[in-house]
Amino acid sequence: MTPQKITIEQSTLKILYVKYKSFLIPLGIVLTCILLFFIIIVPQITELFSTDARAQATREKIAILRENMRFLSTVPSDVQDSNVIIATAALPLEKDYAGIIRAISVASVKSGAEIDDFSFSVGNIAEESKDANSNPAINLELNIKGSVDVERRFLEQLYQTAPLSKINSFEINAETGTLTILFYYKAVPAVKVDYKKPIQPLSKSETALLDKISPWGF
Amino acid sequence: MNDINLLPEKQASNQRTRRILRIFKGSAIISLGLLALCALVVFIVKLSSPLPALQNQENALILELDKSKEKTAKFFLLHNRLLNIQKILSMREDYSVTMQEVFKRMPEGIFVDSLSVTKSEILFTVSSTSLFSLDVFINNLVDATVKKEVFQKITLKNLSLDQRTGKYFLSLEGVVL
Repeated sequence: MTPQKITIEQSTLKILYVKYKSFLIPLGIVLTCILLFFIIIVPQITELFSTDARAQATREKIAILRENMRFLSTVPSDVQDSNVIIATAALPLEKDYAGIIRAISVASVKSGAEIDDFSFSVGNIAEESKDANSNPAINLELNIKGSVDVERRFLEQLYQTAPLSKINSFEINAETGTLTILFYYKAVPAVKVDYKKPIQPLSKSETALLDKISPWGF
Repeated sequence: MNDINLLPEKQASNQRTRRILRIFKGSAIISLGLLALCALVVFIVKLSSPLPALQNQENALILELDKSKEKTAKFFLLHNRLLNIQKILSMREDYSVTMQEVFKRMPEGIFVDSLSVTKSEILFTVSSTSLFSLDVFINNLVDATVKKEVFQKITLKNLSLDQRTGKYFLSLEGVVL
């Protein structure tokens, strides 16, 4: 069975349009209204229901922002600057050769040890540590002269001098000593300042640590 | 010839058409009205919402805080430095303390000839002309190891005598706690 082809003449359509024209306009208006209701009004009503929750969340953010403002205004700039200087002296943002030489000199003067020769293992000077958990360090081999007790005092003094160091290995005898020391540094990871998060004041342990390391840089 | 009166039927049909048209027009007006009413109600409810005012307040505070951006960044830097300093301090061994503990337990007449440290092991050689002093020193270290004060483990590596000088040499290896 072959499907029948139905054709509507243009004139027929015109006749139908003229006959039902008066019905088409109100029908169009009703359909448009229904369409607008679902496209515009329904989403607006849905949004209204979430407004209370959003207002509450905004109130909480405002409270945090106010607290941050209050907190920042109570911290004296000079104290903060001095704390940053102490902390960055202990753990520099980049390889601090001058700081290392100064630390060795200070430890030597305080312990009475005589500095012989030393050499740095610099590594790739262009490479920065990308791993946030790693602690990059400069390796230093140092020869010192002095009694065993003087050398012990040198180690003790070096651990109390900025920048932070770690004795990797050492070999000392009655007159001389050879030390392998790691001097740490760490770049600051890129960060986007988010005011909507509370700014944490220094905790008790952080303040204690700051007090502990503050004499190390001077 | 019979009369054909089509008029009443046509009138009735027209009346029905007009009625349907009135219903259509009424529906259109009611739809428009309802839509306008809904829009108005939503507008009024939104107007009475505190959200826009709160958002303005939030933006104003952010702008105000933006003036202290440097101070905020310094706080971040400070926390970051202190956290990493703490990590480094907790992982480094202070050998001077261990040495001090060993020296403390050393009786008079004993001299340190050499001392070397690799990772957590300390190897040291002491000398003395008195075997008694060396015995006291060994006992002191063994005692400290048993009490877990200095070493986890201590091993006597060598004991020798230099007949020319009359000195005894004692080599010990300790694993730091």
